[in-house]
Amino acid sequence: MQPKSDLAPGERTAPRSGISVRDGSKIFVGQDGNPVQALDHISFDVQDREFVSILGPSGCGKTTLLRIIGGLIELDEGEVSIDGRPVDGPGPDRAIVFQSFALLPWLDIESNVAFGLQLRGANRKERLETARQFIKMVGLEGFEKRLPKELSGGMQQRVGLARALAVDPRILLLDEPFGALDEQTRRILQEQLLEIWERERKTAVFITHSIDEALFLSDRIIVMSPRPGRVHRVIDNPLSRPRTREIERSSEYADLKAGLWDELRGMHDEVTP
Amino acid sequence: MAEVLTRDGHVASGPKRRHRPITDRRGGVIAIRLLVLALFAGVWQWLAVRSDSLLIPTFTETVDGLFQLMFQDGDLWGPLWESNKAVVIGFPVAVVTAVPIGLAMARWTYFGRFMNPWAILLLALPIAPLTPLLILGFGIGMTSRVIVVVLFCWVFIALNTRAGVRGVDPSLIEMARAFDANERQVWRFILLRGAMPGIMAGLRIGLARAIAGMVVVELLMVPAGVGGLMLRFRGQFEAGLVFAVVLAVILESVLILFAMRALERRLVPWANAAQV
Repeated sequence: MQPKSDLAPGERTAPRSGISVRDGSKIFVGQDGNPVQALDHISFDVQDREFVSILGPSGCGKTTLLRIIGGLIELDEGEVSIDGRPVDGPGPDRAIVFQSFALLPWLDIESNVAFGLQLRGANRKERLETARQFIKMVGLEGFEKRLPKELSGGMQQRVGLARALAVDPRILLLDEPFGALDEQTRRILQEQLLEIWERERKTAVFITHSIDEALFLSDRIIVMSPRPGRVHRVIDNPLSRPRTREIERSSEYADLKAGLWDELRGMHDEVTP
Repeated sequence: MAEVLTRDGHVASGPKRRHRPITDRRGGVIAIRLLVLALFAGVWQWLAVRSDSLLIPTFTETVDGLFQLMFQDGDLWGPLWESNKAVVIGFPVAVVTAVPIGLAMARWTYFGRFMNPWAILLLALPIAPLTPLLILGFGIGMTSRVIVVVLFCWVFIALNTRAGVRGVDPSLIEMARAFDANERQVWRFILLRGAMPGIMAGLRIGLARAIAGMVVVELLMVPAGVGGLMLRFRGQFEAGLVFAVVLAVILESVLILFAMRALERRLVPWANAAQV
């Protein structure tokens, strides 16, 4: 299958509902005082209810990009908007799932899941009830009163996912959520995430450096290249939905994976002197 | 006896015993501590007997003295309470001022930098040379004693508070911001909770310091309480009783430290408490 719809940097398309990044640039000051261009004129769209992966090696700015969409960092140039309205800080329409889980160690699981709701002022009874629903959804029923340290990494991330889902965001931002987990736990959680997404159908932006993960989960894959961070290629993922692990055995999958790996390997070659 | 067929075909006999290090066994740590104490007491006793000096009491003389002061004539309790008054007043004063300033030092970097040299100064300050100044300014009495207590513990509370806040995992703060927390919420839900172990450590160390300060001021400036008691016994060449008073103060500190650690375990069960 050929990759379609390469979006040339800066090319304007008709604004759709969903996320829109136009000519986004971000410069950080490095430790040595020299400027580092984390993002260089990034443009892409994410449609409503679409699952998009951002795939790329370290240093391609994908984490920065996620935080910009989430409203934690601001672009230096260009704009990012949701449904046509520019992003101005975090908001109730987005929620982030963090690679390090970021659970509050002093709260039990149900309070952790309820945390986003607590910040919004929901009263105790309501937010715990809602939390319990989502705890059930991620398969952690029975663990409500435990502390995070009593849970395995995979379980902790499921708590993080439940917390993000509990605030009912339109857009789910996932920052290499399974990166800190072992391979087997990763695969199980990928399947669980897919299952939940297929029911809830949120818009999802998923950061990863795993080709398999991107192919298994997403509708489209945005490949980014590092130093400076740029959109290298945007690839439609033709694998049919609903997806099962069977898909990994198809030759279509193998071709896609090989193609993506060629793209990514090329970037590492550029970096090596 | 059980017979076991080992992998290479030999027959090993004898009960298999599981070896756990002594520190894992319940009471193991306590047993070791008691052993060390006994060793210490033994060496002390031996050295004191050997030196045969009026000024170095033996362990047994000291313990005898302690019993006498505690239970026989009960001369310990009045002075002990008198001394502790300075801590009862001084420690809360220190806490109420040092914790907010520690929080402020964490929150505003410039303020923290501004306070740093003063903190170092307070840390390094030897009290003895200050005593004439304090007497001049505040006389010989409770005021001076309270001031010294505060000086002894203030810095530790403030700096541990600051460290507690700074030590909060930044990813938790980022997470709260991602869920649209405002600054007040970040303080209330993340920073203050997360800093609790550090703050409690500061309170614990500060209280131990406060007790030390309470005695020092009585030895150097205001001969009241247990300090005064020590001076009196020294003047009477009652070395055993002097050491007995020292032992009493040490015991008080140890008991309070244990109590505070237990309190910490109740208040912050999620943290790994430090060993001091």
